[in-house]
Amino acid sequence: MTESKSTKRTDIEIWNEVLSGSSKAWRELIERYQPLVYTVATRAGLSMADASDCFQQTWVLLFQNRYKLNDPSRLSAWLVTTARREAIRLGRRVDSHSDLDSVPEPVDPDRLPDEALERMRRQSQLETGLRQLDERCRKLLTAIFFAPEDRSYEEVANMVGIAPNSMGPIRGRCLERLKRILVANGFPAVRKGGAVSL
Amino acid sequence: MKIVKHPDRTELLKAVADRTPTVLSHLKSCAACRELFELLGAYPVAGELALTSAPSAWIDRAVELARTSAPSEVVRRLLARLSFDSWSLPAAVGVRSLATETERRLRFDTELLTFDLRAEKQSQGWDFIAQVAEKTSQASHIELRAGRTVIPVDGRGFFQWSSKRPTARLTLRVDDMLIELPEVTWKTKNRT
Repeated sequence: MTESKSTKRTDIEIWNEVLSGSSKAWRELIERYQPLVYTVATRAGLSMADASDCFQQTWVLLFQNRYKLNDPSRLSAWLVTTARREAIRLGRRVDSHSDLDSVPEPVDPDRLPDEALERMRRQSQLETGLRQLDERCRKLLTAIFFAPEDRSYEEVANMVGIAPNSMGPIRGRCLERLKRILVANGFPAVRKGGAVSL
Repeated sequence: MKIVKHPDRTELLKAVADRTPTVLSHLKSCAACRELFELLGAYPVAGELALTSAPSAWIDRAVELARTSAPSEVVRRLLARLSFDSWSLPAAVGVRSLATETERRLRFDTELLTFDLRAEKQSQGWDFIAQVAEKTSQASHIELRAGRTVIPVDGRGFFQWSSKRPTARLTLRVDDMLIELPEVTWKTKNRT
């Protein structure tokens, strides 16, 4: 997971400060969501120069339209949609304005299907939540979620440096904390009560 | 001591998809596995590569937007007009009412919104409650200033504050627009 700076403030708290003109809050917002915008821009198949334009233009549009965004809890969805639209626009521009043989292929909208964008957005929410945890919980849950291969709980315990017999209760507490953070951030994918219908 | 075998990530992910009975049965008695099961279902990104950070120069350029564009800049100014003042109504003939001096209702209008203010005199000062009713589109950010103090809006959409002396100068910031309200005078003596 990218080690970008993150505070424990919710998107809505940060956004309200952005609207009040705080450049510090604007920076905080960018630091929170830049990996998401960057991922959309770079997975679109653009050249690096165009990916840079796509990244920049997404933030320009957010800044210009900041007073029109009515629901800040939908911020990540707005960023993803805007970045994809910009990527497609930049791809078309390459296609229509250049006659060089070596230009990159125009962006195929299928490279960024809705499901892939939704997964990136969820991943961004999860990573934001993980960054807000203390170091031990962050390491533990990152190992559980993002390790490329499944590991036994004993292996995870060894990686994080906790006794295997403490793993169960610590894992439970960390998951509960993460869930509280995700709910506080307004990410609706998890429910407050936590009960799973079995 | 009985050793509990918790389902690993692969088993939980499989249960998210096919609701494996043995795993679901375990979840009934294991809160931590239940939490993990729910999160793995809600965030189907297990084993994914982490989202990578943009080059710092790109980030710096985006951050600069707020500095170069002066985000607090007011694009438009409006002057509201006073459309109602309970103190400007004549008191009913033969009625001496202190209530009219301890309570005041004001309404200000612009083409975009109506601002209602109610003031009540207390023993130590004044209590205020105000509300904005928008006539056209919904603003995303409304801020009220009473003098230099920013009054936050509460969850029900009211601005509430108290002060020793009544507030004469009020301004509203609605998105990128500043709405100035005419100064209010609060002379309470010799009213008829």
